[in-house]
Amino acid sequence: MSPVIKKSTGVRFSIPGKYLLFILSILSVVLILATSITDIGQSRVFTSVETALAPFERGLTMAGEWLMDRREIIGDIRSLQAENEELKRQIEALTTENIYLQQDEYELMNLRELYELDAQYQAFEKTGAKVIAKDAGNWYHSFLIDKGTDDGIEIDMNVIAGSGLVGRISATGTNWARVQAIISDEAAVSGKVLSASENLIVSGSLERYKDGKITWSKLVDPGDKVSVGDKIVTSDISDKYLPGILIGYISSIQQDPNNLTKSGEMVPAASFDHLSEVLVILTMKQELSADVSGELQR
Amino acid sequence: MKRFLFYTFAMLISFLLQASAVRLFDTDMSGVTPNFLLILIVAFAVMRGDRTGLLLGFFSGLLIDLVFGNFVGYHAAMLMFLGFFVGMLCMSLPKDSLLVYIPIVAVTDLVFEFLNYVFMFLLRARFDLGFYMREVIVPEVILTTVISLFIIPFYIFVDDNFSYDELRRAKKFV
Repeated sequence: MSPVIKKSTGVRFSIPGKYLLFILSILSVVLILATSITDIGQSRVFTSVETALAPFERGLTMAGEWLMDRREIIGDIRSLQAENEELKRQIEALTTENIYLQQDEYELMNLRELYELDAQYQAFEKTGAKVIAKDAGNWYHSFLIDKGTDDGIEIDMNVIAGSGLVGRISATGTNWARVQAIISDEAAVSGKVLSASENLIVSGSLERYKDGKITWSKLVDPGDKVSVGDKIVTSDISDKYLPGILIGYISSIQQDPNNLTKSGEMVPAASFDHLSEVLVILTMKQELSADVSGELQR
Repeated sequence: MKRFLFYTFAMLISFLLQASAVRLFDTDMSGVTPNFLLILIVAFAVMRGDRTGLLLGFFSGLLIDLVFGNFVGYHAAMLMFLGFFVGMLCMSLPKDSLLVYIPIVAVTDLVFEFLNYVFMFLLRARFDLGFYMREVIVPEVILTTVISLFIIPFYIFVDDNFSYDELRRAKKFV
């Protein structure tokens, strides 16, 4: 064998499997430690992978929506006609209702001024984003959206859909952001029962979510003021969630064995079944509390 | 070089399938996602041995960690060990029949998801293994195994082509 043959057959120096395993294990451990202790996971080296993949995910999502649209168009035209009749009837009813509601609106405006939180929540600047990917496994419910730091999105911003809280941003890249959903098993939100103004903790649960529910706990309610159907909103004491965003409705209440606190289940207000678009609130709790304390000092 | 390119593309496409394409058919957040990356790792670990298995496992895991992980390295380490052991244990198996791969895919996915349960849920005091088996692990294993029936023949075909090419090129100079 001449040296020429050796070169062209590509005989290379290669590390045997077990040594490679050893080296990469150590690398993994170093990475786990480095990314869980420091913020290095948010550096460009780490986020650029998803930045490169996001356009493809967006393309796939758009293709999916196109397919869905086709499927819906082909879907029964006759049922649409029936629905149309029904809707026309509803419009008449709603028009009359609307007149009454307009009268109420003036009153509502005044009340909102009194109840400042809600007015703030309405006035927050929001941006719409499309869901482009969901967690690659079946354990957690985090997902990716198609807007990132380029659109002004930062970690810990709140995400809502429809009328309810969806979660908060847990990682960002230039053109993507990861949202940790409140239904995710590792997520917890500090909430408040609107009717009784009592604080509680809402935590996601994979087990309960199979029935469309999540759990809440640590409610101190000695007067039994809280009942099934009560609204739970994000609390004032949370350091990441803005106050007064609707989380959901209580569906069951249980006395804890310690006889001091209560826990139970709730139905989230946002629909997680067909989540394709979400709104990101661009105001953050930290800024909000900074503003308030600034005003107080003045 | 060709192989390297193929592995990279297969990994990226599997990941995109797992993260985005399954949403083409099912926008439900709680739907079951098949584990395309695991099929890739198992197929080539069986065909090419422990070294390929562990490298594919490490980089696939790294991809999952970089995009979805709260910290980086967990899936990388886990899939690397799985790829290594599958490659090592299946060294002497015949590699041309689809039937060989199916049980290996099923068992590997079962082990992978069971370890995930232990590390991510059992350690946070979620003890209802029966529920997680029934609702998460078994559906995923079944779906992954069924899908692997269609993907693995393609991987076998590609690997055969590469091996043939490599053999031919090696022979040319002898």
